[in-house]
Amino acid sequence: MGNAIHEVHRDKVYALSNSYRIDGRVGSYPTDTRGYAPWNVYVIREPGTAVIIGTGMTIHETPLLEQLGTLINDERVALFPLSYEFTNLCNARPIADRFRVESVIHPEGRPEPSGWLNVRPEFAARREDGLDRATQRIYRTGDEIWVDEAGSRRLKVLFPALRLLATQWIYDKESKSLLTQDVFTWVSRPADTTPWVLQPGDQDETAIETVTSVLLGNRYWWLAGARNADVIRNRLKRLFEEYEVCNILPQNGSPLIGAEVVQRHVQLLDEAIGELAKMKPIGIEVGEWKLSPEQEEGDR
Amino acid sequence: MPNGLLDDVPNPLPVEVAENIFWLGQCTNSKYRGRSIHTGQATFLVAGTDHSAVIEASAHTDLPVVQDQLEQLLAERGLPDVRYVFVTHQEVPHAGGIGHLLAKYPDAEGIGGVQDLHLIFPQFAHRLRFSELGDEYPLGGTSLRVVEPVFRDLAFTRWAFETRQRTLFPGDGFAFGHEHDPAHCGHFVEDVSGLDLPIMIQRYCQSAFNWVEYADVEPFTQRLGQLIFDELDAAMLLPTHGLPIRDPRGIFPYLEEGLKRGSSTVTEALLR
Repeated sequence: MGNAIHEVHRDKVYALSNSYRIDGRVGSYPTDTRGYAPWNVYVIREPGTAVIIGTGMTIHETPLLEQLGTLINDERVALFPLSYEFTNLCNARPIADRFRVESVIHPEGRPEPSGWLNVRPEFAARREDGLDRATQRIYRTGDEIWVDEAGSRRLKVLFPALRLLATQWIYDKESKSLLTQDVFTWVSRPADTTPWVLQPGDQDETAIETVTSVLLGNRYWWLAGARNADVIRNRLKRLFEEYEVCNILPQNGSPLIGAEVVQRHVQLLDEAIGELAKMKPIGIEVGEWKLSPEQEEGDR
Repeated sequence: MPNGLLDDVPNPLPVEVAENIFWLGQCTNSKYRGRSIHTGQATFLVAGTDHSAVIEASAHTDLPVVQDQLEQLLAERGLPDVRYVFVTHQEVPHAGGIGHLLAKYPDAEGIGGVQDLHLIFPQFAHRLRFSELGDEYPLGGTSLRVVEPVFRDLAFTRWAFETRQRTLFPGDGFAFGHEHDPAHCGHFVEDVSGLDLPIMIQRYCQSAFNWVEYADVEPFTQRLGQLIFDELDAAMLLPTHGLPIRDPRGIFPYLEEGLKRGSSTVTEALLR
């Protein structure tokens, strides 16, 4: 399995990437795409503290804990699930059982951490739950989340420029990184090889067709023929004007490292939204979509 | 029967909405402009003569209540064991409890819109089967047919249709809240007075289905009407995030209006 840690910024931000197979059964890529992609968990560090953003998939539990173990010892940890989706929940409990998770950062309306983060049935029988000692840190969009208690390092919670399900984007001024959840996820690979990040100097064959395909392939089907698509494009433009972004860190797909790479992919997204808006809407035909006919018999 | 007590309103569920079709779960309390509004993630139990099916696996925060309700119903009514756990799609409010349910019912398969779940519950990967439109799962005396998810967020969503009593489970379709009131909770929408359905649907669109801001909803409402009335002749609609509907033709105009409001209001806000 292609697992890797990438230091995004000077011992302050790490991408913990663990791969999964794209085989038609995953919702993150079109059903006829084949290959591999990383699922990324991010660690935001300050001396004595760490914020873990996302938890990855259950299949990644063992390598993820090993990766975290190389970065975290006695640090006070906060878990920060950015959306109410399985990949933000399913390894929360193993992480809390192993490391000193003192808090869970989440929006209003959630119960205590052990009440909503224990999605896996194998945890039901265990009595001791590391999540029981975690307090709740409630935020709203627009808030700044402190990483260190002195508040010198803060993460800005942003309304996503593009979204389907409820989620947030996060901006870290220290590293000039933007965490974008399920957008900018389109860089996958035919083989399960590391490193996963896309950096200046790397061969980047991403074309607009790839971006439009990934967008339309599941969550952003409604961009086809979207009215008022300029609202989204303007929102993106304003965001990247207001915040200096040198790294785009999505939940899956290659993290995009370096201002030059960022600029190229922001341009690709803007163009893709424009092109998709010119299409005829596909909302009704999406309801009749089938899984790829090339999917192997056992996959279904 | 366990009581999912919320704000001192006793949980009215489970309710048998049709013969051997049960509405399970509990209301979820949220605030909207200072008022207590209930929504929810409904789960349903459909029992045939040979097998039972659970429709929607609940947000796992509701699961202890749902599991107790299931156990009691299966035991007290002598219903057959759970053979299928159908989820419309893999989002946690719909599929959150699927791992626990597949653990509890070892002969059950997870069906419907199960993308990604083999990576979350790898121990059950061999029991997860993605459903295509037209797939049918016999329960004995009735069956579950997989039908087109006209209104959705994730693309590979699936809806279920119970064939004997013509009951449609439309997932996110027809989502609306209701007042925190014993006269609302646990009732069919037709029996609730004073519920402004178009407004409730509009609010739900604004908070949960933001894609509606960018779409003309008329094709969706037209297709919904074709599916429900012309093709399925559905007698009842059981949405995951709304009260049960037993008069689809009578309620449908309010649903259309709510969706149109949900689309146009937010667009107007965007244009300001």
